[in-house]
This record gives sequence, C-alpha cells and structure tokens, in this order.
Amino acid sequence: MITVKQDPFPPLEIRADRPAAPPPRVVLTNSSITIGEKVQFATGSSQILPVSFGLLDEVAKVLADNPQIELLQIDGHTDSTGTAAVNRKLSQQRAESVMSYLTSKGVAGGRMKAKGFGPDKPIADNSTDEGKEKNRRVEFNILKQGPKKTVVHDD
Amino acid sequence: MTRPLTTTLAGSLVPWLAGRLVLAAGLTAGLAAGCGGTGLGADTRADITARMTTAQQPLESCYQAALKTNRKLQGMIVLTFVAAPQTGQFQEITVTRDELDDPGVRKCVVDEVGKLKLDKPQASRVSISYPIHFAPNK
Repeated sequence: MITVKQDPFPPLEIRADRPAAPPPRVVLTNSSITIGEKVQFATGSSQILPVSFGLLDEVAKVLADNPQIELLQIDGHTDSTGTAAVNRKLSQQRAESVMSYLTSKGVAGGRMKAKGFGPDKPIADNSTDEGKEKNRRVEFNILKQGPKKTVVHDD
Repeated sequence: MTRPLTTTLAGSLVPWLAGRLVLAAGLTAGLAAGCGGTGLGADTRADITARMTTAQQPLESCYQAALKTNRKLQGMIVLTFVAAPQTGQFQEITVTRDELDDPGVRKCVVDEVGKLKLDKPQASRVSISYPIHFAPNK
C-alpha cells in the first residue's frame, strides 16, 4: 500500500466579537463600596446564602487593595413589613453577619462597624413588592479614610 | 586512459539518480491526479477549501453565541471526515482535536460541515483532515 501524507490545509479562520465585559459587581467610590448585586440572606435570618460569598469576597479584596479605607460601616436595611423593632434587630444581625464574613476573609475587624437601620431609611416605595425588594439591602459606607496607599502584591 | 575514481563514481551515479527522479515525479503526478493512494489533486484541495469557507458565516454565529458565556473561548478544532464518492457529501465527521472544549461549538462545527459537499465529487472516497481556528476579534 502506498501512503502519501497530505499537505495540511491552512486553518479556516473563524472570528467573532467578544461581548462587552460585564460591569464590575463591586465598585469603590469616594464615599462607599457599591455592589451590583444584593447580599442574599436566608428568609428571616442573618445567615448569608452561599450565592453571595463571591460578591463578599470581592468586597474583601477591595478592602485589602485599599488600606486607606480606615473605617467602613456596613449598613443593614429592611422593608417595612413587620414591626420596626424586629426589623432593626434583623438588619443589625445581618450587618454583623456580613462583617463576620469579611473578617473571616482577612479584613481587620477594627476597620469595620455594623449598623442595622431596619425600615428607617427606605430608598423606594414600601407599598409595592418592587419597592420592598429595593429597600431590603446591605450598603458599605466609608466613614473614614486616609491618603491613598499603594498595595504591592507578592506574585 | 585511467579516469580518477571520483569522476567514475559521479558518472555512474548520474544515470541512477536521474532514473529515481523520473520515477518519483511520475508517482507524484499519478497520485495528484487521483490514480491511487490518498493524495489530493490541486483542484480537489481547492474545492474542499472553498466548501469549508462557505461554513465560515454559520460557524462565526455559533462562536459568537458561545463567547457570551465564555469570553475567553478560543483555540483550534481539527476535524477528519470523508467526501463520499459520487456525491462529494462530507460525512463520517470526527473531532480529533478540540482546544475549545465547548459542546455547543463542537456540535455546531460537526453539523455545519456535515451540510457541505464537493462541487466536483470524486470517483473514490476522499479523506480530509481540516483545522478550524477560533479567535475573538482584537
């Protein structure tokens, strides 16, 4: 049998545009760390759902990369369903739960404080489900920061 | 008269080499014309390339869709297949190398190439190995 090796064909080139990169989930501003998703908790509980771990990991990284942030307040908010006292307690527990998680990821506890506002600071209409959803939230507000410092990573 | 040994050797080697070259050229031409073996003639190669090029557009659509879920997706897929005798239909398509490792793109490639057939079918099966390179635009 005679076997003849073929010259290889040049590759067929297929090109396509990469879709636009999704906006970052965690953004540092002058006065806050804003998150593009909500921190998810178990219903009526301060237990953080695993789906939010990645988001909080990114918050922890922002804090690690920005040591000039000296004090960050983690604010917990609820909608107006139920009594204000219960909601204030739950929001406080949720804010503390987030703080504990960030501490477990290496953020110094002294750089953070947790505060639960319950239903006292709504940002949307509590008479609609959509508004209530917006009001149930965690925010990260920078209370104190020094001059910008450079972080050097060991690779 | 006595000739130097080198001249004698050269003189006897020239006809031997010439004979070999004629034999090799004849074999190559025969294979290129499809008279035996698996070699492809220039026309058949051009036909295959032209058919594959017609799949470019649908393959770009598949790749574009896959990039939405994996922005880093890129690499080479190599197919082997045959063009059937008489019809030229591309069939028996096998992926022999897949750097993308994306089931959607792989299925798309196999499906799209399976729709193709040679413009000028050959009398015998034509075995083909064809690389396809996927890369995002810069």
